[in-house]
Amino acid sequence: MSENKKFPNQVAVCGSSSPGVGIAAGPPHEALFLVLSYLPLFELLSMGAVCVSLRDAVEHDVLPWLHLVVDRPLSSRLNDYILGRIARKADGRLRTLALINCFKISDSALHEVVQNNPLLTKLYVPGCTSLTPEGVIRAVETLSQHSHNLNSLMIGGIYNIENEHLEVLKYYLLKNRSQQQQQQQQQQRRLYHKDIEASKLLRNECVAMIDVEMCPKCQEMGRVYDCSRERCKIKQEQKFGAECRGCSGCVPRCEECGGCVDGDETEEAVCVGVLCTSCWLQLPKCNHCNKPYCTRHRQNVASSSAAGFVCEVCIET
Amino acid sequence: MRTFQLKSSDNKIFKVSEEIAIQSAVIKNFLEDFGSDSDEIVIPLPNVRGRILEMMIEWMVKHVDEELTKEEVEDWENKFMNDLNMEVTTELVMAANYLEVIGLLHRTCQSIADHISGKSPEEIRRILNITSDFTPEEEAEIRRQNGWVLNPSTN
Repeated sequence: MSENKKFPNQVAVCGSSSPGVGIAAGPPHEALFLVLSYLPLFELLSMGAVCVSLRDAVEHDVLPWLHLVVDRPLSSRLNDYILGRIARKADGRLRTLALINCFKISDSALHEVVQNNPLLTKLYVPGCTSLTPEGVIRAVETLSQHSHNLNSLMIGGIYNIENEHLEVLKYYLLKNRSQQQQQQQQQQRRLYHKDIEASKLLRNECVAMIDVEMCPKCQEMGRVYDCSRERCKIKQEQKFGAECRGCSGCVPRCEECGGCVDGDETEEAVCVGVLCTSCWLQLPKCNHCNKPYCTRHRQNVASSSAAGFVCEVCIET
Repeated sequence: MRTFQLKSSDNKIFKVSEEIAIQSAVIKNFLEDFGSDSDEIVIPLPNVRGRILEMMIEWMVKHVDEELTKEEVEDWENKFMNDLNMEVTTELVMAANYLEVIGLLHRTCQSIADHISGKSPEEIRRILNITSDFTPEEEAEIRRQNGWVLNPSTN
């Protein structure tokens, strides 16, 4: 079949910061208006300050506001008043509300948004520590009474969540979920290194129903991870509950591969996490302290060349 | 299996099987409405130039390949995206939107979104090659409205 032949890829320019060479700057490309609905709040507001046409789109269109994601650096600045203001931009059609570590947001502010947006399918409020379990339940209840769209919830980091709370939340979510989604849920394994990052929340269709459960080791509520190691996976399949299934407090895991690490093979990364020896060996390391970044954090750090790099910590000291 | 011909704006012809082509919702509808048993159908795509269409087909071919695992497709997607520059990415966004190839639209839009992650308006102008056409008054108004974003103390 001719369509199976490998197509030569003539584009070789790596596109981190190189706009078409020699092309004069001008009005924004049409495609950028489609990109708006993929942006978290900070970037969306930034785009709205770029030029007149983008400003008008951000200010007056509903589409860019249907998936509202508030993450760093705005999490700590978002208060009830501003949340109300920006949530109204979706005109009651909000699909995703993701407030990551927005610790000033209160139960009543959350409830107000939820009440006005019955189409919400994802409600993510991890680390919103001013919320209470009762407040979250009330929000989920409201969303499940008149509509059945809500199917995914993140509440990790909210204080005082007990098993009873979790049972109530699960009851509502299960009612809302389609059979197909429920089956997917059962097959899903939660891996530490693939745990959802804010930027990936928007379009992910098969996400976990709820992000916390009781850790089989410490009996505390938290995110419980499966192990990525083949040998542990097999163990787990043979006997439900492998020894290394647990929250990140109970089972240290490699930032890179999500496998469990035991004491003697733990290596340090520049970022706070730990690495297993085999991942550590493969990663490029700081010229000074010889510690590597994990791939995820490395992407956030500016320049590094073939000659190597010096990590943030070493630059500061 | 039926095959069709897709014709780009610069008159390049690509032969594709039905299985591959119907990943585009637009082509799928087109075939449902005008479908015949003939292999000779030529679908003109006047908004997509040949090189972009070629890349789209490459994408669609990979996404019907049943021999690949989910992880392998993911790895391939990452590599595909890494090889693109901004200009081609924006063209792919338009083409994927026009032909409704949803997976490709998501990935390309997300890729541009990732490029401007954490960036200021000035940096975005540089990355995306845009000139500011604000009057000083408009600029001041935006700064006022976004005060809480830029300046923590106004909160």
